[in-house]
Amino acid sequence: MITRDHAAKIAAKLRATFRQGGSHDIAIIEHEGKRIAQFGIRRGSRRDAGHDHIPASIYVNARSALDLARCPMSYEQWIEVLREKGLVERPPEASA
Amino acid sequence: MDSAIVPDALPMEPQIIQPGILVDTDIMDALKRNYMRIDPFDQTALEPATYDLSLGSMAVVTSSGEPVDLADEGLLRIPPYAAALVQTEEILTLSSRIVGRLGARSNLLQNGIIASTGPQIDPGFTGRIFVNLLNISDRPFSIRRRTRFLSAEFQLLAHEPSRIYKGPHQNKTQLSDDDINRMVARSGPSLKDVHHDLLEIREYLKDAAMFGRDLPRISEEIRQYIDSKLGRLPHKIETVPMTTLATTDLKLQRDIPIVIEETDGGFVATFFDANLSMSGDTQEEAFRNVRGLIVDLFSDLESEPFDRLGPGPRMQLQVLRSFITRGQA
Repeated sequence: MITRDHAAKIAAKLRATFRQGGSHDIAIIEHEGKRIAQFGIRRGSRRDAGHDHIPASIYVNARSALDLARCPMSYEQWIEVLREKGLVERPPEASA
Repeated sequence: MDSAIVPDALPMEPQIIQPGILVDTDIMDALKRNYMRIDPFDQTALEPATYDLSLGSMAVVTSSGEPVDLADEGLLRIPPYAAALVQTEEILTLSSRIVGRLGARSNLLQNGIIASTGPQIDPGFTGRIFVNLLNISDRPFSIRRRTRFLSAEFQLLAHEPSRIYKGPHQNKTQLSDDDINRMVARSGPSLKDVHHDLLEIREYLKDAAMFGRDLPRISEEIRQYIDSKLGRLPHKIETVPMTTLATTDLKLQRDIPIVIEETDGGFVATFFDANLSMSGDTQEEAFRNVRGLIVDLFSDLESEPFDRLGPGPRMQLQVLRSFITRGQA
């Protein structure tokens, strides 16, 4: 289960900025000037409130999302995952 | 090769035979009056309404690799499930008023030999008849040269056709190199191989059928095993249509299908086409939360310059635009 604590850590790891929505905050993730993903974070006092929707929102499985929250997966590794899925453009190759 | 005969130039005597299938006396009469020729002719091969043709001197068998000269060996042997291209001893010459038809004699059929004879012998044809004999039995079949193996029926036509046969088999009296090469070059599985393979497949199918019968039970046992190992109950999934966005300035063009799934932490409501989801402690809360997210993100994504959106958010905005328009709900 992914909790609100995990959600906050994932947002921090992915260098998200926040916008306020109606009953939630929206964590927006940008890379090289482009918005590449976002997910909602529920408001409320409960730190263990469920956030199992986050893995699909950031295009990874639950284990990888927890890895982001608990440290083993870095921001760069996550970007590489998205790059492999075509959700982040590859950097232009250096010319010879 | 025999000298060419021009069948339509046969000097026929005035017709006295009636059109139709020729009986033995008609065949004799037709030969006498040059409506047709059978060379060599043997009166003992004459049946009540047919003439029996005999096996000629050359043949080629698929399994042998080279033609068989029956003038030397006298005996043609066709192995089980093999085919042989054979020729008749007789050369037939039909005038423009005679059509012929062939069939296998019972000595072939009783031994599991099928003869591919073609539909008919056209008026004007002259040459030997070439036939494929296929041994579909599991025993070898042997036949001597000059054994009668085909039955020919002849028919006198009521009128001359507008044209006579001038096809590739006209005046052909010997197996050609092409005929021989085609038979010898036949490759791939023989009927015998196919028969063997089918028997093997039958056994596999029996096994598969038994497995198929047990599959639901095995599948259920595996599911129960996995559930017991993971220590969880099966999760409930439900689809609920979102019919309104509960806001005044956005209108739904069609219902949004929301899938609500029970998870360890409560419920997750997802709009799969747009990859948008939100959690909640109850189904209703998850549904309300994803609706709020859809409303907020639609406005939020629309406010971004399109070239600042990556592939994922671009796709999300396009999907949302196909469901949502601005205006009074």
